[in-house]
Amino acid sequence: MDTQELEALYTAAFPKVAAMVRRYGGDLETARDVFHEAMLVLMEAEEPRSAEAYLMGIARNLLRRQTRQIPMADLPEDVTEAPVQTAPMAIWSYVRGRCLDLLKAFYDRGDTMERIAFTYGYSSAHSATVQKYKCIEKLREQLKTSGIYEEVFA
Amino acid sequence: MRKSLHDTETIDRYLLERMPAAEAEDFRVRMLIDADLAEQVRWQRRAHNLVRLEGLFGRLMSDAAFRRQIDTIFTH
Repeated sequence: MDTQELEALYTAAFPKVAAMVRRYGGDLETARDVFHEAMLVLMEAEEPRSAEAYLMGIARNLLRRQTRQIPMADLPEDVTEAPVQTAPMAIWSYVRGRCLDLLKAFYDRGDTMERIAFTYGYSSAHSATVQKYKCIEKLREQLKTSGIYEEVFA
Repeated sequence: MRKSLHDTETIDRYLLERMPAAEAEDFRVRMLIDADLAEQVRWQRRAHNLVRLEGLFGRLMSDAAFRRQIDTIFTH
């Protein structure tokens, strides 16, 4: 999926997934995590007929699975159709902060390592490069151990 | 660089298509016979994709109209 296609799909589908997450009582951070998890599945799938419908289906599965893990005692008594949750629903957490910023600078914005070294205060492009590999390794390992993806879609 | 970082660097060059054709071909063969390597490549590709998505989220949320559309969902 090239950048333009990705952006078009993101712009069209994220508000719909966010509205669904909201109905389940989730917040913006949950919506982002659920949506990204669903997008990761989509990006590795054979071209589905409708990417948007496919995404909605995956996101719904993730939310249902997540809400099943909430003990009934924690749910308000007046729950009727959609399960409601007031606590944050972190699907998984990954490397945030400085590491993710550095990775975005390289893999998303395409900044040079010289520029990244300057921006993030590394002594050289080489030091910044070593840090970049440490960060991508850390993210890769965190994704592996999150387990959610494999459990839901295996 | 320690060995695992060197491997990470090699996988990156493969995924970003910054490997000479002959080396890329050798790498594909290595993946066929080394399941662990193939698995590492799969997870690293996923990490790249996640970083792209995070970047896109940041850009779109800094667009006033898109931000308003999303904020409306969570404030009503």
